[in-house]
Amino acid sequence: MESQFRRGILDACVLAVLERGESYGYQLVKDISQFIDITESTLYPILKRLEASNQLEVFTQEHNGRLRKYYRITAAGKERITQLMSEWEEIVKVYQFIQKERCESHE
Amino acid sequence: MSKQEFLNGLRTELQKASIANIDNMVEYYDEMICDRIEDGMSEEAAVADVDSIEEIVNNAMLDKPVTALVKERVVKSREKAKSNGTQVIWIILAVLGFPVWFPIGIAILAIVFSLYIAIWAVVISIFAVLLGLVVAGLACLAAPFIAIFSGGFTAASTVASIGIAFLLFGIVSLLWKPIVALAKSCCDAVVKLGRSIKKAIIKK
Repeated sequence: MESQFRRGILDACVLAVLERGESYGYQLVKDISQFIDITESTLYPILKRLEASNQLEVFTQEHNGRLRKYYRITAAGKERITQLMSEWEEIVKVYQFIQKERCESHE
Repeated sequence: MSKQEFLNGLRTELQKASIANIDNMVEYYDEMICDRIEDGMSEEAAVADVDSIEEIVNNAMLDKPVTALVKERVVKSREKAKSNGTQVIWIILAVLGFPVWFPIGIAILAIVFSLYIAIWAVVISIFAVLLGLVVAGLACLAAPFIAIFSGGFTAASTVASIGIAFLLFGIVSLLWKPIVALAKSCCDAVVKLGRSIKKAIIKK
């Protein structure tokens, strides 16, 4: 998949999971990898980028005697996901158009 | 490989690659391995399940600025030449080959730079055209009022002037969306260009 497009999708996936509730790195990888190929080394720069742009915030909590980092979506993050969704509506329209054109050309 | 061995190896490789915030990254992978162990994996399986050190370093490198990557490449090549004992040969070749590699280098830099400038020039020029149309529209709207004071007022010229103004505003509003989309694509192209250069430097 084209890298810029993929990055946008991954950003949206992370934000969408966090919109449901706060989460941590491994859980994010598990949730998202069911739908798109993602590993922790791909997730790390995404988390850093979203944190730097204030789309998510990080906090540490004790878990089974160790510290674990949790991520929470911010208002800016929610706004971003709305924006991404509206962009995708356009992409879906283009996809449907291409599919229709291909069907017609095969007929 | 044990968790500690993996984390030590990762720290060393990240240091070698001069990656920022190493502690944060090591902490992140430590947490990832611990979560896998908690999920029922053995320590070795958990370490094997996370990305390889090479992959992690490569992904981290992609986030570094191009200048830092070039600097590292130069330092690495120098060290390699020193350890091989080929430093003198390389210096001689660099001096003798100067008339060849210098113009080629300059040409490559010029191509990359001109591509960068061309992309931004497209963005700036299309917005300049839009601004020009808006200014011309405003001027057409103001023209009848100026004509009243200067004495050249006629009903026909006023209607024509206002008509042209609305035509220009219409063109601007029609062009706005596609032009913003085009500007966005140009910005994406600049980012893509940067990332391909980075990838090329890392891969070498």
